[in-house]
Amino acid sequence: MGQLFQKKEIFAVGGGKGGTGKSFFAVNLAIVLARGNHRTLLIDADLGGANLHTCLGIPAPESTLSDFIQSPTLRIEDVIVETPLANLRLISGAQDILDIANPKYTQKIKLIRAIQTLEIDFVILDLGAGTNYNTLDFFMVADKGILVVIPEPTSIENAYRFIKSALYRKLKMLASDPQTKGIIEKAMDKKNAYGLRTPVELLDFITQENATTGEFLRREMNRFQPRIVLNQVRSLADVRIGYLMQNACRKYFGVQVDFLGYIENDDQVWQSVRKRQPITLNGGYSKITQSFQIITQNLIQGLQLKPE
Amino acid sequence: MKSLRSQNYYEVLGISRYASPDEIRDAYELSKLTFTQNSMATYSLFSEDENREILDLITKACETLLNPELRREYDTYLDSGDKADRPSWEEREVALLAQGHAHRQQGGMLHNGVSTSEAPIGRGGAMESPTQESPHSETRSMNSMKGANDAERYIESVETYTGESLRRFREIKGLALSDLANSTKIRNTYIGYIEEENFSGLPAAVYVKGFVKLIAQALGLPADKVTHDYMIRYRSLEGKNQA
Repeated sequence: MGQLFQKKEIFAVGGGKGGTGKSFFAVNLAIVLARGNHRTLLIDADLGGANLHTCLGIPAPESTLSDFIQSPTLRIEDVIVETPLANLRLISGAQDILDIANPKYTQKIKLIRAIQTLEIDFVILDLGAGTNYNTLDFFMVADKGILVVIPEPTSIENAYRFIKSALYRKLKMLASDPQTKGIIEKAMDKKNAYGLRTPVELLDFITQENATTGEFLRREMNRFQPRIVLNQVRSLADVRIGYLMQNACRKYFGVQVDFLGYIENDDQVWQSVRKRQPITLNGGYSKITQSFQIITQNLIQGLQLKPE
Repeated sequence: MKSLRSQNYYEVLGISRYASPDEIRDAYELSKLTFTQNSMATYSLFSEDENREILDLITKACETLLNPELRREYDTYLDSGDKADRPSWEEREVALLAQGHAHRQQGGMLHNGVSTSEAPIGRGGAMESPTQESPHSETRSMNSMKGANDAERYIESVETYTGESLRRFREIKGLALSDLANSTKIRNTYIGYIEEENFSGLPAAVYVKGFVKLIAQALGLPADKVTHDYMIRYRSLEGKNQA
């Protein structure tokens, strides 16, 4: 009923570091949504190493996202393929790493516009590793961006780097005057001449220079609200890291990060990856499936994990 | 979001204005884990010093909000807004603590021993012994000995303490308003008004009482008597003003 009026929501899944389980997460999130009777489109936006079709256990589709982005005549419907699961469709990523490494911003906007014309409820963009502009732009055009993090220093560090890069890129794109743009650009360098360490300090500085711009950017920054999911969790102390990261982000970035939930480290996970059978498809009520259901609920409803 | 320094205690802890004591304690425990050395969540963001600074502020926020009386005053302060002609939170806090209105429970409340102990009040006061002075300040120490004698004589001569006697005593001790302001954390103007008995420039009676007590302590005067005398005067003169 309500779905008729419901605007489609775009989720982007990133995380900075490779190997944290982004594709694993994106695929299983898509399955849980599709199983919940939501028309879901999964897009492999990892333009350097697309492999979502493999995760879903289907052969490599002939038409891909890069075909759509590059071709002026192809419609988005032409590159969408059905999956064995009702309500779940897929746009596969580029097969040849060389054919499209760096789509222009306008090309990315073309994709987002095309998505808006589709009759679907949810779109999941699976982004590549790293913090290149592609990844950051997709992350920012999404309604909700999710970072998949594992409880290890390198992964956490990369997640922070991702948030910082995304935030500064967003601020720089929003700032209209060249002076503010210049300040932001300089602040991106850790050893900047202004001595600005954190995004919070940067905004204070901009506000001093230009109160109107500063207030405008502050409002925009308050709307930037990345979500985190902890993967490969082994203990309660690991779970707590989600809350600690949230606390640290509030102080450092001045940004509210929602902790959606966690996925336990479980042999079933890698077994399912090897069998090319998504774990949430295995049926039954496994712990992992339950975790995905909690995360999905929190994501859709704008909530976060309740502390135990 | 505002920078840490401009955040109020609720924002610092990331809790609502209606947070229960348990929620405050939980927020504190979480922050302790977040902002410690080698914390996985902060090592790449904050230096050790920054972590310590954040944790100090969080501890102070937590101690204030876990103290029902201080919290009530803090809420009133937040609602009235931080205006230049009103006492700052720091001034309000020292005034309240000076009267024992709101005892800051050391350690016990946060059961970890982290407590922001107040700097001893009364530094530079009458009880300071000359031996504490550096060898370079021989003349000053001579003066302060002479000052100490004068001071004792003056205390004996005073029957009822007034604003005027506070000023005279301060001058005998060779202290400027700013010296007293530094050691009490009360701004110059308030101390000046207290000495002039210019009550209209002063905040509510509860703060005046705390300020007078702090000034008396800093000057090495019998604080309870000074406060008692001064407040009787304050009330009678205030009454006249309002009449």
